[in-house]
Amino acid sequence: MLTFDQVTTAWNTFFHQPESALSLAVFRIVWGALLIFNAMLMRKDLALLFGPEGYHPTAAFKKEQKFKFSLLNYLPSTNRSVYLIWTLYVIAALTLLCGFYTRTSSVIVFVTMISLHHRNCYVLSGGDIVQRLLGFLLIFSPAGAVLSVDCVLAGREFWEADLKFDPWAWRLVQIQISMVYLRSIFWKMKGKLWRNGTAVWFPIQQDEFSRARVPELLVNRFTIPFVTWSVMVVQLTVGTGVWFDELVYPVLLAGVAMHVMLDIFLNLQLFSWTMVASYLLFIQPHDLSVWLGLTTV
Amino acid sequence: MVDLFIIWFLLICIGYDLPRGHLLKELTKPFNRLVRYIGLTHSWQLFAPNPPTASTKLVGLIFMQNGETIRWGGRFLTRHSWLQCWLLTRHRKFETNIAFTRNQDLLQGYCELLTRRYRAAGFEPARIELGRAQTKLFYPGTEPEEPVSEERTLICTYVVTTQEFCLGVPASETDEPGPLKIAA
Repeated sequence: MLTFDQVTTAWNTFFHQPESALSLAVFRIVWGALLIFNAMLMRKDLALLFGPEGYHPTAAFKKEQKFKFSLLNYLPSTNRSVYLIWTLYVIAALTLLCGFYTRTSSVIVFVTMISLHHRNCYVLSGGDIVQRLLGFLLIFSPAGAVLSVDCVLAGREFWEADLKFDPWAWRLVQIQISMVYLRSIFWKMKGKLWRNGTAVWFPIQQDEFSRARVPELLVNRFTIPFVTWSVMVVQLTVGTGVWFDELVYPVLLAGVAMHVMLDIFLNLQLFSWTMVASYLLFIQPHDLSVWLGLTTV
Repeated sequence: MVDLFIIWFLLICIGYDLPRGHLLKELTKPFNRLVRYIGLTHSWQLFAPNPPTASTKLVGLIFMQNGETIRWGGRFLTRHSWLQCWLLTRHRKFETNIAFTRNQDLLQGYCELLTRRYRAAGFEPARIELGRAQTKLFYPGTEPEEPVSEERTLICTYVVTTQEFCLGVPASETDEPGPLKIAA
């Protein structure tokens, strides 16, 4: 039997035992770059995607977005407001990448991101939702503690990787990533097509998702069930294996391989890229420090 | 306070996407409004429980005032480069969503957008019909003997001149015999 003391100790060790913020800082840099790339992808079509005379006209927006926060609720209903929010988003993503006023930047990134997302939720994909959730948690994390302008301004070394911080927000991000895979498996187990091994064939045949035609040679009665069940095994192992020191790197590699294949054949916008970027959060700070040459083994 | 926040987030993270009736899902209900307001809604079904078994695209017929008719079809991502795919995805996503929506404001807004675009291109639209074209997909070895054709369903009609909009066919035209124009 467990005692309350043991549970409290385990909780405190997992959520509050000080950790180096190096992995989080590297993630912050990659994350900032990804956000800027995502923003650039929508730059040309901003008015159409989020403007008052675009896909989601103001009348429809006002009716259904009553209970969703958006800065656009408080600004004039013009394209200029959309451009303003987008510009703020890009600037904040850039300062987040540099680690300049990191926490403020995280807040602005999140607020402007949900302002655009809530303006037209009909153009969003899974990657946007992951970005939103991680963006929220990043606000509470010490992502700017190292490898940032903030740490230089505070008089510390830019490369100082040994400083330790309370990692609870980082742990929540890790749990969120793990939960994406585990919950997906939970739903897949309920589906007949996933269980009988045919599910993967359907999205690759659909105009909505198919980016490149899979070579006919690879589409047969042996490969499709193999790939379908492999996807489930990889999702399950990534969702669980990332919590074990001995398994974390092999399962992350398997996850990267799965996302590369997904991205080659299916157009899921930046979902795969976002998930792979989040794997940085599972790399042990000490290992990352060695790989970056900041610490000797 | 931090630990309370952690517990709250864990509850949302684990319970929000569970099926209705699940205890954890029920526990998240008091926070649903807050979760929606700050944008923490999520669903990780990712082609589950089953991926769609039909390929769907939004199609349209634009009847011009001069009698000309323009047939307009959905986007195909396979014909484009990697970068163009990324650029087009949000538009394709919107078209797929709108193909299944019953949200009249959204559909009417889209018809009005099409009207503006055709006018800008020098056309004078009189009436727009939007429809959903679905091609059933059959896993190799399960194809029916008779080839199955694309199924088209009329979503809405928008009469540009009178700004009359309705889901399906306008009441004024329900007496018209014959198949829906979109299905022709």
